[in-house]
This record gives sequence, C-alpha cells and structure tokens, in this order.
Amino acid sequence: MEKLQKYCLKLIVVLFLITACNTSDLKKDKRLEAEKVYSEAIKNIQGSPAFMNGIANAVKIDPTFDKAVRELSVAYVKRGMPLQWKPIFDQAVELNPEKWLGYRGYLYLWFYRDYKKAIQDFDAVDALTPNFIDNPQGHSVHYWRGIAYLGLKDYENSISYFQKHLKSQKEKLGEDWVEINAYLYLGIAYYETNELEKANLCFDNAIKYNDNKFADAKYYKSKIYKQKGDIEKAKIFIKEALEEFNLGYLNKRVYVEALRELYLDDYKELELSL
Amino acid sequence: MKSQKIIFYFFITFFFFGCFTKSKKEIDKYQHYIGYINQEKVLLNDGYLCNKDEIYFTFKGAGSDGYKGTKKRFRDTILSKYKHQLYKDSGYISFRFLVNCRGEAGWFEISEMNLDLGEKNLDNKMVQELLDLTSKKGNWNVFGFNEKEGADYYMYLIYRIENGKITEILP
Repeated sequence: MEKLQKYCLKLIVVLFLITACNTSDLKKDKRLEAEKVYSEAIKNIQGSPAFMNGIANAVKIDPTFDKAVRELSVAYVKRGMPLQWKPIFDQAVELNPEKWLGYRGYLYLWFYRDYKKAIQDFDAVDALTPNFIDNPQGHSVHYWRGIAYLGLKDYENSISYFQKHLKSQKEKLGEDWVEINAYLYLGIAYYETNELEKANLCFDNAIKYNDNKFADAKYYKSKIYKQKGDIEKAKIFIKEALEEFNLGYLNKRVYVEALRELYLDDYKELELSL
Repeated sequence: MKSQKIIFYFFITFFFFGCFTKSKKEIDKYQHYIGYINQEKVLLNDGYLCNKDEIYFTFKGAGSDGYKGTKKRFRDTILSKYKHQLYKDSGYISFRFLVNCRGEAGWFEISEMNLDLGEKNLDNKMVQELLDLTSKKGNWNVFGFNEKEGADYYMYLIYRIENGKITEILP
C-alpha cells in the first residue's frame, strides 16, 4: 500500500512537471510551431484538403493564432458558403478585433451587401484606434464607409466620408495617388443629389488620374450633359465611354459585382436615348 | 507489487501516447476541397456532366462568365418573374450548383439563412420558386475553351431577401 502511494506521488510529480513545461516553454513555442505548420499549409491550393487540414492543425497547436483562424474562413466566402464562413471569421474577430473587424466590414459590404453591418464594423474598428485611420483591405475606413453609405442611398453620409478620405489621401500622398474609384463614387453621390457641377468635377478627376480613360466616369458625364440639354457633348462622352468599356477601362471587381457596376446594355441604352 | 509497477508504467505510457499522438480523425477533417458538391446527394442531379471529375471555376464560381448575356439581364429576368408579393420572409438563400457543358444547371445545394447569416428555414414556396427560376437553362452560358467542347463548371448565387423582396443577387 505504501509503495502504491509512492508511485502515485511520483506520478503526480511527473504530471506536474509536464504541465509546467507545457504552460511555460511550450506556450512560448506554440505560436512559432503553428506558424511553421501554417506556412507549409498555405503552399497548397486555397481551400484544398491539404490547405485546410494544415491550417486546422496550426490552429490546433495555437488556438489564439487569429491569422490562421481567419484563413480557414476565406475559401468559404469565395465559394458562396456564408453559413460556414461567418462563425470562423467571427472567431478571428474575437481573437484580434483591431485586425479583423474592418476586414469583416469589407466582406459584409462586398460579399453580402449588408451595408449596415459593414458600417457597424468600420465604426467599431475606428473607435478602437482613435488616433489612426484604419485601412482594411488597402483602403481607409472612410473610403469603405463612403461606399457603404452609397449602397444605403444615404448620399449625405457617403459624400462626407469620401471627402474625409480624399482630404487625408491628398495630405498624405498627393492628389494623383488618390484611388480613382473614390472620385467615381463621390461623383455618383453628387449626381444622385443633383449637384451636377460637383459631380462633373469628380468624374473629370477620375478620368484624369486614369490616363484619360474611364468608361464609368464618361458614362455619367454623358448623363450630366444629357440632363443639361447638351446632347452633342453627351454623344461624344457616351461614344468614348463605349470604346473604353470595350477596352476594359471600367469599374469591376474580381470576386463580386462592383457597386453600381455598368454593363454594355447600360451604355447602349443611354446611347439610344440621345 | 509487480502488478502495481505494471499498472504504473502502463498508465505513464498511456498518458504520453495520449498527449503526443494526433487524432487521425482531426487531421483529416477536410476530405474534400471547400465548395465540393457531392453529385450523388444534391437536387436536380439527373443531368449529364461531360466530365464529372473536372469541374471548372471551383475556386470562386464562374461569376460573370456563367451568365448567358450579363448579370444585369439575369437580374432583370429574375426580378420580372419572381412573385415577391406572395412572401414575407427575410434572409439569404444560397444556391451552389453545377452547369454542364450544354449550359444546363443542376446539382443544386441550397442553404437558407436569416439576415445575420445564421441557419434559418425560409418559406418553402419562396425557395422553390427561386430554385425554379435559377435553374432555367436559358440563364447559363456554355463555357468552353473551343467551339466544339464545352466544360462543366461551378457557380453560386446568393439572394438577399427582405420581406419577400429580392434586394440583392450576389456575388
């Protein structure tokens, strides 16, 4: 009996040591190990079994590895499986809200056209980092909010956020570095509120900074001239717009339809109406 | 006493084995690529596929290449035929499907969700009407690399519906 107690005591000591090792050294190394597994996994095709199982293993090694958690969700969003995408992405947001809140807003905006949820996320990430303008997916939250409010047809807010975006971009990088779609979408917001001169100026900038070729902006310029009764100018712009549409100078996105995307039929309809 | 020792070492071995071997089941959690459609288990799966082992656009769906004409035309057609007055539900309906080498849609997998993207059963008649409209042959392109040979491809559509009305056709 006494010996059994000794063995049990030994066992407890061994278990304690193992646990202690796990929580100190292993905890430190877990992220490194998980990153190694992740780096190997992402060499495979995104969403393939090797890719997913590898990343799942990385997450198993370090469940706090938010980048890997988020990567597990990406193929679902690209392949039309929101039910599977959402709980995984929400987990990434929970682990690292500063990094993934704005990104989730971007996905709500483009993949699910849930403008209100997108704005909530952009506002939330902005509030988390008050001294810094966040740039999820390469554009400022002001830019994304401008688009989301345009989607909601809240033109006043859309204009306000695009103005903020343009101001900060011009100050930081100069006017010729501003994303041309910011001018296009701001122009559309002005057009919708019947501020045609301001709209025209925005479209001019969009064209100017896109090597003088931009089908969407010229389409709207044609509409403006039609509205003003200057049919000759409207005809010139729709002709150029059609040419540039066929050359591929247009507002289009890879994975989703762009907001206010224009199709050949739209150009032809306008042309026929002149 | 010997048996106690054996029990002790057995326990230790079992503990280490449990800690340091990975569960095969977990390693192989993902058996297929994401978006895989099991052709045997989905709706309208009695059509013909040119090559069921080589489906194109599985990475992101065919998108604009899938529509016969343009997405604008597809949207106009659906909106003109869909009877929104009959329904009140809100949510998302996702159709993931294959289009064969002849431009015929089939092999449909459907997910029904609320507007928070959580699982929710939506009005069956509404879902059926959208399935009927979406699966019509005239909607889909024959995709191929040359005029003689068409290819089978993967496509997905998500309808956002508010109070029975289609507010968005995605992506």
